[in-house]
Amino acid sequence: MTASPDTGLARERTLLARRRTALSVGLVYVALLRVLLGRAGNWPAVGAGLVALPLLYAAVSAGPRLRTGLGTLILALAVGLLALTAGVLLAL
Amino acid sequence: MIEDVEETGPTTVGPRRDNRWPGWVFGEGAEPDPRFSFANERTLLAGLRTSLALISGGVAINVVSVPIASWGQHVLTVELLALGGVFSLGSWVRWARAERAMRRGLPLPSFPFGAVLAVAIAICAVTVLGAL
Repeated sequence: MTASPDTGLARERTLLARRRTALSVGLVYVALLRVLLGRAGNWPAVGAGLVALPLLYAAVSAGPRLRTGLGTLILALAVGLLALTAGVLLAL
Repeated sequence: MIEDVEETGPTTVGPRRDNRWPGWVFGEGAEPDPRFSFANERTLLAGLRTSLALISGGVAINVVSVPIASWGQHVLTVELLALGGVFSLGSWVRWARAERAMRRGLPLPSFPFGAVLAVAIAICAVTVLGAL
């Protein structure tokens, strides 16, 4: 990394975006699963496992290094899984 | 497509980190300007938040009572959930392709899924109008 203010600011914007996205995913997970679990019965294990994915992303991406590959794939999979879970739960 | 791009491509900033994943992205070319990588990642994160909005909309249209026909609700739910799921993974693929292109000094790849998303949202709007 360079000490350029531009780079530092870009880095800070990205870190904030990571946290904002992780927060959004976590909140949407909790909100949607709460709605959906009320419909389809009690799926606590599934719910807990899915909520853990964005947390895992936050942990992976929290470091100072650019671990974008793994962290972002985890997050993308988490969002994809959310869509799949929502579809399954709505179909039940 | 373009082979000899290293000399005019991105500048090398710091040592290469070979332990990064995926290898087909980080194993090629030279390290681009970190600002570009950060911008690329922010674009991906924005795409993921868009996916979340689509998924939330799909669930909401199904669980909330809205004054449209029930078939419209079901169609919209399927459309939005499928779009949200596919778009999240598509965003990651776009990120990886763009990062790879930057490392190799190539032009950024096109993003055809953007057009698909725009058309799909227009179809959702038509579905709502038809179900009113």
